[in-house]
Amino acid sequence: MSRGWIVAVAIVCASPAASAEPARHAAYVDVLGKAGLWGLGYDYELVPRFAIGAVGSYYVLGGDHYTSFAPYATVYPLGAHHVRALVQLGPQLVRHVTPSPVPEWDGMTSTRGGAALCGGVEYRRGVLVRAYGMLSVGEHVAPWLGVSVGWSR
Amino acid sequence: MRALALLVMAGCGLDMTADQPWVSIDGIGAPLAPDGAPPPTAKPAPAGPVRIVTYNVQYGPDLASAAAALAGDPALASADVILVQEIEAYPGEGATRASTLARLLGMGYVYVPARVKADGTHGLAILSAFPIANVEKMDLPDSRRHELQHRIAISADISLGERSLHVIDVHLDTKLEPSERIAQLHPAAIDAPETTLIGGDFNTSWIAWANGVPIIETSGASDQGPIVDSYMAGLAFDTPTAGCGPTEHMFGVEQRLDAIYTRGLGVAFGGVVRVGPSDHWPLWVDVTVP
Repeated sequence: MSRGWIVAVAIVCASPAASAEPARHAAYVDVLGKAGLWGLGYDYELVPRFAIGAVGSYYVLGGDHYTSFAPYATVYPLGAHHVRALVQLGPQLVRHVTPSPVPEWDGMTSTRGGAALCGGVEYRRGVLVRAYGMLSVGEHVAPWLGVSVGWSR
Repeated sequence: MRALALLVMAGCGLDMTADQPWVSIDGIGAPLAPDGAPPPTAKPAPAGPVRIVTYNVQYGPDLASAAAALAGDPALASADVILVQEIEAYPGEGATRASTLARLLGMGYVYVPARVKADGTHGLAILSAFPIANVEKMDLPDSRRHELQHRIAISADISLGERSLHVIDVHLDTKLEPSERIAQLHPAAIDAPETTLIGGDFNTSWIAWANGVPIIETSGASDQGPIVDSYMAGLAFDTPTAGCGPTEHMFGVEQRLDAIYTRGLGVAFGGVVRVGPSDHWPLWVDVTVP
């Protein structure tokens, strides 16, 4: 094994908390997934293997404004220490504002709700890296993917 | 007014710097030369409603199946006018696909290319059992994003004896946000005559796009169909197909991408007929022309 690999494995394994439970707080940036294009999220592990959190987002695409908020509950059915499988479930609220590009129309605003069921895996140890597949259910139903990257303590 | 419109539209992703006039197709030459022919036997002027169908044929490679689907359904078989989108023409095929479809259905037609594709063209067509007159083309505003394609609208007067029905056939870009979609449609709709039918593939998806990356948001808040309906209603158009349900299917996802809007006409919603080889289904209404 090269020296680089040895160093990398040592960094991952040699934390003082290596044998402790994972960090309970996490703040992260979500890309795609529940946040739409992107969002900021936070979650807190209430008890071992159960956490609650939320992700919110705001972005503008082609002049249209999107705001979303998605609280969720997480269970960790598999894994231990810092690498665990997760399942998340929660509602999604989305507000979409279409400003009018023409003088003859006033534009339109719509607020709707849905739900997201996510399954994935996360690494949590100082940093948080989470990848998940998702079934998004609202007026329509579609599969989707998301990635979260952030910090935990 | 145009200066105000340009200022308002500056924030969207469309290039609104060019004029979008209606241009007679008579002066359009190669490589985008139009094609057309009158109906082999024009129907007598109708005493009752005129049946209008809009149908995206997805390039039209299997016209025999498309024609069989249209002719085999009782509602579609009595179509008087068919607004066709996404139809193509290639020199090696001997005739434009619009010509072939019209021949199979016993209708007249006009085919107007939007852009060159390989050694052929891609565009819109209007098929009619009645004479087609005053055909014009409009180049719609292009997106500044390079992955998108040039779009057009075509208009024509369908001669119904002493009456006339003005129709506009449109096919808007796929990966547009709602405000961009309104801006692209606007030049074709804003100066339409008081009595007009506008139909076609408005590509009113519920999927948002970020530089070509789909953003899946299923709540319905991002549905573009109700937004375009709202815009057209603001121009005093009726929205008879607003509740028609999906008109397109792909990868197991169904969406309402097609629509028909009318102004100054009596209109009765017909339906979406789930037939044909295309990823779109034909959508029809009956209109009463004053």
